[in-house]
Amino acid sequence: MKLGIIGTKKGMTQIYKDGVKIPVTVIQVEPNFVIQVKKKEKEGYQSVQLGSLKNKWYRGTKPVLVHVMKAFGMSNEEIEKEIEKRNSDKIFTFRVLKEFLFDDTSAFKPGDELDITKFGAGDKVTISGTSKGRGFQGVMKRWGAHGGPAAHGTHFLRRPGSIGASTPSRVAKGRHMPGHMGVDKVTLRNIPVVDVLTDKNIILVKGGVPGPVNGIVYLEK
Amino acid sequence: MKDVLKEIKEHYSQEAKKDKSIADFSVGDTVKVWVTVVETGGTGKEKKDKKKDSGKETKVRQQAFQGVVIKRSGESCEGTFTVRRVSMDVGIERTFPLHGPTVKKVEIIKKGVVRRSKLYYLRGRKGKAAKIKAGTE
Repeated sequence: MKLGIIGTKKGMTQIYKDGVKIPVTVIQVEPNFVIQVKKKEKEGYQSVQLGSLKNKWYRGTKPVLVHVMKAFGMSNEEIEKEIEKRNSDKIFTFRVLKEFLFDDTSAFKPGDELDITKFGAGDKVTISGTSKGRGFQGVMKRWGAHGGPAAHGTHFLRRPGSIGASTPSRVAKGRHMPGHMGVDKVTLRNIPVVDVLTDKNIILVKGGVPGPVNGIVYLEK
Repeated sequence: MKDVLKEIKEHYSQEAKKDKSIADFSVGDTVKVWVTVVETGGTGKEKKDKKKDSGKETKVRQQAFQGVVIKRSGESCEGTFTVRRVSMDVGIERTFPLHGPTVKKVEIIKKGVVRRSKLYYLRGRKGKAAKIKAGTE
């Protein structure tokens, strides 16, 4: 089965299961709503666009607002009318909109809520997130270069060293150099789900998950 | 905002506590810890030679470890505590997970009054110098 859900990383802890201590990451799943359903006949593939983490209506652009509100059955005129009020609870957008490939979209229509009961303990999931930013880093931290000797009066400590030969007298593409590190999309595959607490909307997965606490993560099954 | 992580930790710690009796002890108390010990029969060496069961049955029993709590760390389901006892002039310290499956029961033998959260100073002391003032329940 193929489906996905948007969650928020809340931190790590450890729990005991069958007498074994397991390190787990706590992922909170706020309500996920179906915004758009893509079908084979029309778009050529099957997927569902989900929205999660509600935002105020003025937080996004108008095209996004209209796209989201149409999923909840509002017409253009109704949306215009609510915008006129300047302070309406009826219109809103989402902080995250994300499309997932689903192999069965027939059960979903725009406006539906997707719950976490589709995930269960023992499932293997794919988790993607954005890694923590490390700023501008040198070659030792960024690429694992060994650096120079630390003693005997050397001044060659954490430097990159030679970056190429006199022929071809240019730097090869992809050469490892200092630069910005982190804030990359990181995907982990085959991560076991340890437990699902449906009443609290919590999924526990084994081990660590990319990104900071309160970072957005995508779970796919 | 609610602390979701704390709530989840508390949830699992309550679940782990279900079939246990763990007294509400603190650092300085003298406690008796009942630890589950699995006896497989024979020495470890025999087991290595014959990978299969050595024929002797495995026995699960409860072993008591009594001493002074010198340290508590972690909260809810991550918590551990360290118990120190002096046996035949040799100090023994064992650290137990509060919610691990091996610790089934912790009972307070004697309450103690201490002014420190970690009683590492007991390590260098012997006899009367290592005594802790008795407290009330």
